[in-house]
Amino acid sequence: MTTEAAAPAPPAGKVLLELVGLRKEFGTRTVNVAVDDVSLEVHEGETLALVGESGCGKTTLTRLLLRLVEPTAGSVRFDGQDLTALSPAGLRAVRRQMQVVLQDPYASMNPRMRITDIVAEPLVTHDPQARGRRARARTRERVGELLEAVGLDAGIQDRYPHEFSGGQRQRVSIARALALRPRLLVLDEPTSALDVSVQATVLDLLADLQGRLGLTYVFVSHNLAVVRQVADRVAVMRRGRLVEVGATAAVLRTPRHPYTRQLLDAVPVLDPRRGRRAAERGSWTSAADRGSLTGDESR
Amino acid sequence: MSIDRPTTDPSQRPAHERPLLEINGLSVDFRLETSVVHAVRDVSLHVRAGETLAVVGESGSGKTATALSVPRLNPSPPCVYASGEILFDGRDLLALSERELGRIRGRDIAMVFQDPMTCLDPLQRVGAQVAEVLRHHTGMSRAEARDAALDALDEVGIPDPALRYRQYPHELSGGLRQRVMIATALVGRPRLLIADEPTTALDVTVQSQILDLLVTLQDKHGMAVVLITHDLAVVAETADRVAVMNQGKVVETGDVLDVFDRPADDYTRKLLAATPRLEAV
Repeated sequence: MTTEAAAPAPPAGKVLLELVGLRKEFGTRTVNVAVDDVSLEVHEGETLALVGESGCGKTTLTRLLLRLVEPTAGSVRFDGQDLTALSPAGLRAVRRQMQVVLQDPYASMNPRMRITDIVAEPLVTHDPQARGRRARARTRERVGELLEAVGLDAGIQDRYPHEFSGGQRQRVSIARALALRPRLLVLDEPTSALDVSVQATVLDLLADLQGRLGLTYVFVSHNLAVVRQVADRVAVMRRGRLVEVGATAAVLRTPRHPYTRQLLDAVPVLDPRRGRRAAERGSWTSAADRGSLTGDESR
Repeated sequence: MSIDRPTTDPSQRPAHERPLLEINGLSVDFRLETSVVHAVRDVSLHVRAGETLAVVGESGSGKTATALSVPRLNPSPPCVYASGEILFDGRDLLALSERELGRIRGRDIAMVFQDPMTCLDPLQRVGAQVAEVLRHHTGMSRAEARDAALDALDEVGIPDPALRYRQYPHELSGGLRQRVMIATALVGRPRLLIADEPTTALDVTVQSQILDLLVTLQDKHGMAVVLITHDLAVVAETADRVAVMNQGKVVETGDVLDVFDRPADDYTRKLLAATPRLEAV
């Protein structure tokens, strides 16, 4: 990536995930190129944000890097191993190390499963030791630890998802994703279904977990203000291609690609003195000031 | 104390002008089988002609229930308007018959919702849906309504309106669908537009275009807008005044500049602090 070389602070950790010339086509008669020649490195311990609008291919890219879909061309390397060349057993071993948290905490868990079974499911799937009646006590203990790690009460294990709010459910999703002690978490719009005050607490939790557990995040988002807050580096996608990759501060402050500029300009500004009503406000302010001086407009 | 500032040149709009919409002490209950939810608790709000009032809050704050009370569109039952009045141009909408309200709804008071796909009829061509509003409220002929609907599609910035007129909602992108919704809402030249999260389902660049469009059309037609949103940045961009709602109550209301500069309520401060910003403060 040429833009990456120009980024001021080179990422510290070693390369954990490497995408090389990834391409994904969908459709047979009319071919739709969802991901087009994407090459990208994700370093251990960093948060890389993948930014773009709907249909730009960011979710397909995450599915490719988890190898949930087969690439049309290119390769995915996780810790040096080529995912596309692995045996099923080898792939299972790698997959333990990469987990995913999805956007909608209502759709991403089975409503008929108890919290304990939801969080324990990856353990049971990947670890024969966690199966069966005798393993039950140990599994419950581990689930309790995980729930506490994400700020929930260990005592909620026998309750069902519908008893919890969106933010609490997203914490359950995170606990489930952490069950296998992964190294990489793919966070696909993890907070965009949440209220802003809840979003803030979940983002804090993710930052805290990353620090404590040394996790690497691929953070998919359409919200550049959230990205600014969480990401070390940002990759901007448009129509299946990466248009710009670099350190978050640099990309947001001095975007190189016109599309990045366009995205940034479109973000509403949390300041009534700027943005689309700013010009009018200038005149109101002065009018109101005059009003308050003469007292004729105050109530 | 905050000063209620008129929205355009003060010389044109005397400060004593009566609000177009005035909600006084509104309480709305949802009477469920086993419990009663007090969704709106003693809410008072007002909007003047040409002004944008943003009602901001998180899910469950009562902002949508409040807004839907104006055209009395909350599902009833279970909804009960327990107390208060909603004065539109001096008439209490809560006291009108369904028939009288039907003449106001869609013509004087129009609505735009978050998800255009659920509001447009998937089996009808979009042009016909815009024209239907006119035929219903003005008694225009088919041909007149068609021409006016084409103009309306053109006004909301839909390219090639003649082509789009014949298409079905599923053939349009989310942004175009929202433009069709806005055309449908504005074609009857309403005096009040209630927009409930009109850009929440849209991409940020499309959101920006739709907000531009709403601001432009409001300036052009001078309608009052009640904008329901969870996004304080959208409030900062578009509103003149803001009412912050939490748990069914208005916790703070005032001029956007005053509320953003000096939030008086703890909850408002918390919301402002939690909203991610593109630039460091």
